[in-house]
Amino acid sequence: MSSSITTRTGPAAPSRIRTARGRLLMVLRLHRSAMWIWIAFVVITAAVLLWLRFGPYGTAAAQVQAGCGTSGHRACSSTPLGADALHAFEYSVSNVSSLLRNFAPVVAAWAGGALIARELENGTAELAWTQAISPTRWLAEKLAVPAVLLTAGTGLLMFQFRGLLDWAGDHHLLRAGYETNDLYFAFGPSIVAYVLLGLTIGALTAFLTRGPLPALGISALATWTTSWVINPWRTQIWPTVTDTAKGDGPFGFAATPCEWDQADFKYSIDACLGAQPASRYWPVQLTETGFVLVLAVVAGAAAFWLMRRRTP
Amino acid sequence: MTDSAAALEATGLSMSYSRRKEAVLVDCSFRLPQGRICALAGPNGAGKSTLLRLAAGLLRPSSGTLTVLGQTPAEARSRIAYVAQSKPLPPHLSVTDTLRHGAELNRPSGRWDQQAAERIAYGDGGLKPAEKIRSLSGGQRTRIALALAFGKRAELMLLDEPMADLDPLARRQLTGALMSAATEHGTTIVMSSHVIAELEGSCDFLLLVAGGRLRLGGDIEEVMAAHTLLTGTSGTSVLDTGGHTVIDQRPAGRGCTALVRPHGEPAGDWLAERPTQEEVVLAHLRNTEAPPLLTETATPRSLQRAQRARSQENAA
Repeated sequence: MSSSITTRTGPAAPSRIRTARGRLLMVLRLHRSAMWIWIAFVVITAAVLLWLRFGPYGTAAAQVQAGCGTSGHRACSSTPLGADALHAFEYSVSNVSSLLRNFAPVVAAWAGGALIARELENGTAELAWTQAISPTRWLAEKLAVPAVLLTAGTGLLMFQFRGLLDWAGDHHLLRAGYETNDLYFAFGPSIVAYVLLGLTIGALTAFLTRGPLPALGISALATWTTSWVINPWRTQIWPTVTDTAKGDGPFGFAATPCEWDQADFKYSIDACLGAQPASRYWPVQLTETGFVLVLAVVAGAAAFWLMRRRTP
Repeated sequence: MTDSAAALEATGLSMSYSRRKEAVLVDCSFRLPQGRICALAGPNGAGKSTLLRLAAGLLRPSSGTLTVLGQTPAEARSRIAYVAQSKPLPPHLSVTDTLRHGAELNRPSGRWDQQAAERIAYGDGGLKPAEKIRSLSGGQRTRIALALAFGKRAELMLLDEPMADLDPLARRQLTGALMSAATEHGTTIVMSSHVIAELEGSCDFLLLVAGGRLRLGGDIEEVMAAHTLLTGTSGTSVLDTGGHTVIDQRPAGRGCTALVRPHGEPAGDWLAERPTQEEVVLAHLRNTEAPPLLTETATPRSLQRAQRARSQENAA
């Protein structure tokens, strides 16, 4: 305690910045282990992404593909024997991508279990509500602070991952196919929106179940299911192109329509890319981001409504 | 704020947690003037905690109204302190951080008194500032919970079983602190307990709830004065109730004792005594059929007005 404040002069307005700062520190102090885990996760994942780009896998894979597709060299799709670095790089990118896209349910589980439901169950939420701030204010602060940290962290990782994908595309390190198409269209601001959706779904289920364990499970499941349901619609709501020039698709592949019986294209480099031109990246991403954010706002509003209904 | 606003005023207050379950509080009406130290007594499950949670603005009543210091419980949030029965505190914070937490949460009201909070928390030097809440004993947690309530400088303190897990010495210290808060700042205190002896001596107002209904309410002096303990000496086992309201009647030795609300002089061969608080409370808990008693100070203004109107009508 640096200063022992004795304010008995009635509600003299304390400086708003100081209040906000104090409140921010308070939320962080209450959830400091979660904050440190999040910071550690962001730092470690960022380091992994840098290592993928500049580490042995990335540099070796780029070396394998150096000059491919130009005159006098092999085609980029025909990888030589013993190109382990290329496979290892692809494998790592795919691992990191599934980590990033499955992160929202983890956030939901934390938000449901630890952030809200535990406090509702052990009564510390009510302890806060009987101090001088209203339950609405309490929930708003509880959600706003993690929302900012999650947006910043996920945004940073997404920016970096996107950079890695573009670099890999430029150096022909990705093979054509569904997976690459998916990588191209799925990663962007929508991942941040999913994380925020996880946060508000967690808050909602915490008020619905009131127990940390059910809230943890149900919120993670609900978030995962939502993203699973939305996933196929990401590119399907857009009209497919049938006849596009080579190079219009993701990462410089062709945007060829994909059908299973398309035997001719089976071993083609441009096979099965979903028939979406690369220029549709932002429309696809922004539509999905907007939709998921609307869901997040609806879930958050429902959480506030449930809380307000219970308390006067 | 007008001085005449009651600390608590309930009219027809009912509360049930769900439509299928039985109501926890049924049609409670009472008034607690400011500056009192009120004992909220009743057996386990009587609705004491529910009443306090309603007053603390944590629950919405199913019907009826409850005003706190002349405002709704939600509006009065910064003027009341509430200590829940389970003394919830974030387990991973240190004692210092918990008090800082209280200071932050109460900053909007500008009332927080760090010294008052620290005096209660570290009062007897038993607690170290860096100690984590989870390592504290039940009684030590109670100290911290009460420290937050004192730091808040509330006008009304709602304490749910505050003394339950305190040792006799700490109990005495905290009772002393409560008394001095009440006399120095005019703080109204409501303390619930199912141990009647715990409240005796420190409280001057009584609210007795049982089975979700209010049985007794008013100045302890007035409530006690309204009752007489009659002891029959000579083999009479049945009381001639002539005009008295009998609350409870039990055989005692060869005769019998009865707690009554006398109307006029006791009839017959009875030894009339002033009952103890415990006798009055226990008699009302045993006989749930007894008509409830609200003294005039404990009657809500609206009911007083209605009664006055009725008596004027009768007179006319």
